[in-house]
Amino acid sequence: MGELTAGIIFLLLSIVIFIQTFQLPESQYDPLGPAGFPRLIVVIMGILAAALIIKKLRAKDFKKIEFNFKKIFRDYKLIFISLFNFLLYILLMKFIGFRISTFLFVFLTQFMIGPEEKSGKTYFIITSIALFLSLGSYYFFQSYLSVIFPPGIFFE
Amino acid sequence: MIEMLVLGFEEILSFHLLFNMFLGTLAGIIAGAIPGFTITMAIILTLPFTFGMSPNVGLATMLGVFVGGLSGGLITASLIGIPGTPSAVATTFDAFPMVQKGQPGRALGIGIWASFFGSLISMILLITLAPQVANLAMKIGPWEYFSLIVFALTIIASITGDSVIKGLLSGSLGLLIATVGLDPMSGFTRFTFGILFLEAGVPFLTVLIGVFAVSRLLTELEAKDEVKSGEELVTGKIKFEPFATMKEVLSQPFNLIRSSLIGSLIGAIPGAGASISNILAYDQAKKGSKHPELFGTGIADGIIASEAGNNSTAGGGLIPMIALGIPGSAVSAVMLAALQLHGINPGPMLIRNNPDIVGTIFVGFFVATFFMLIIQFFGARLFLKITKIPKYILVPTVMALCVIGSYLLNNRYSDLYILFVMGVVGYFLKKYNFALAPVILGVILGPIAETNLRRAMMTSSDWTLFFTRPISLGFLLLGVISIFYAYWQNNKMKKNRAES
Repeated sequence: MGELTAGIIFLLLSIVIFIQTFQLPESQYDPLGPAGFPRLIVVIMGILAAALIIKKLRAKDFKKIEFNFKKIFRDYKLIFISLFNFLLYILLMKFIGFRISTFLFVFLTQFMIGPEEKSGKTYFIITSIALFLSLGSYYFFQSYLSVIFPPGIFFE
Repeated sequence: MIEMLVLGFEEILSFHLLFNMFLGTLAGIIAGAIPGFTITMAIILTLPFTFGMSPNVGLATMLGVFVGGLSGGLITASLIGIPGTPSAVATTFDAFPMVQKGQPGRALGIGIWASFFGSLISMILLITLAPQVANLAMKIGPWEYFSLIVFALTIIASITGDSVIKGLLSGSLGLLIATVGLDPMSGFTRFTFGILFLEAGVPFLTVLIGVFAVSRLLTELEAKDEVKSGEELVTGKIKFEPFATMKEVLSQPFNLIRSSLIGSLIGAIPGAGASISNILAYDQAKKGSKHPELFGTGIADGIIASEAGNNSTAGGGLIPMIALGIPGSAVSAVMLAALQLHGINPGPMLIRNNPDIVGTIFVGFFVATFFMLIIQFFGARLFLKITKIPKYILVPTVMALCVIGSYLLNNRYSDLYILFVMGVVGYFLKKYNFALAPVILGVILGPIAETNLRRAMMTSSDWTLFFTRPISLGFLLLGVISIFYAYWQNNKMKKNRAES
């Protein structure tokens, strides 16, 4: 079932992009123009996607899907947690800065997906790693490569 | 020639130079092992340090970084299944399954030896063939280039995993991703859907990190009970046997030499370099193998092909740089700039005017290869400990490294959004058994293909030139053979599987 959905998504994507290519300008000196190459790709992609859909429909490869959100959430709990933290990390970095957001992401994610019962040693390890990654990489790259990470509102 | 090598040896044999070179190799290996940190970046970083050195010392140090970097990607590629550099993508195909079978020491050992021998073979080619290969590379125009890329794209058909259609869809997705942003020829904005930061395009390294690294890390979290109990990537005792793995690598001389030849040739042709050569070498090894169905399950053949293929690109890449003053890759472009900073102009006259420099490059390359071997072997026991880190620590740590790496590439905050989206896309593709390597191949090759196709059509609207220029026709024929062979082999494998 997932593959059928994937085929449909690829087909829709190729149709949308195909229509988009007609809004691109043409050029006298450049016979292919900005639209030619992408159009070629999406035509191929569309044909492949259609082939995949037909293949799956013929194979009658669609079991009835049951969307049991509770079960999905339970099975993929750690992935949801990590992805959600990852997204927050990226979004918040702009505001609270690289150092704080990196520390929070690394510390909290290890904390949340790690063993339920943690010893003092575990706390020490996960805190040190979070500190090392956030402060260590910040000062290393800033002084050595003059990379400017988002400093965050607390350090402006 | 001999005089040049003697001169090179005289230059190299000083403690000061050897020490700097050793540090360079070590730095290269570390940089290569961190996802998102490229060899080019490491060489650019080393450049300022070489200002105060004499040209020979500076050059030798950067050679160390180059050779070290190419073999560093191997560490993360085999041990956690994430290519540290784009040149190690094919290494993950077999090295990581071997690690999952509980043989991380064997995977690493084979990779190190294959890198070492690949470097040596390419160095021999560099010394003997530099002028001839450089001449061939000069004959390459947009037609030949486009045909070469078409040939490289046909590889997609044989690295598709279980379904050719799905693999080709992955490839076309990669090609499409590469068209987002400014058009390479005329500068029009394409497919940004009003999102401002997409105008700068989607950097291919961000796609690589997202699609490969983030999706792999997420997959690692699927077995939630193991993660919760603090399980490691590899359980059980780890064995590391340097000599047994050397024998294993040397027992496949044909694979080793073929992969090194492919790597050297791709290196000599200006373009994508090691990021293509490892996949091409892997593909050819699979096509030439008696047991292609075992590729991807964790066999030595695949690791040897990929690692010999990417390390030999270094020697090949230096050929046009020395002989013609044309860089074969971004890495050799930086090396070229470094030589010029020291007042040396590479080109046809270099061999006559500065035989000591050319000698240093030849001998330095050789010595750097040995340093790489020594550091990798002494470090191996340490690197192998990576597989003993509990997953709940490894996953968030590497994710943060992915963010740092992606940010460092362009100092652009918006690249992190792209990283997130690519990570999610990569995870779903993986979940539904779409092969990931074709996406990367598409993103790398797409812009080169488009630029050369359009350039060729602008030079002359006669499209038959693609078929009448002999080198171009040769590449296209190779492409056709490659597709048919992959198709035939795929069918044979399916039959074999049905019988057994």
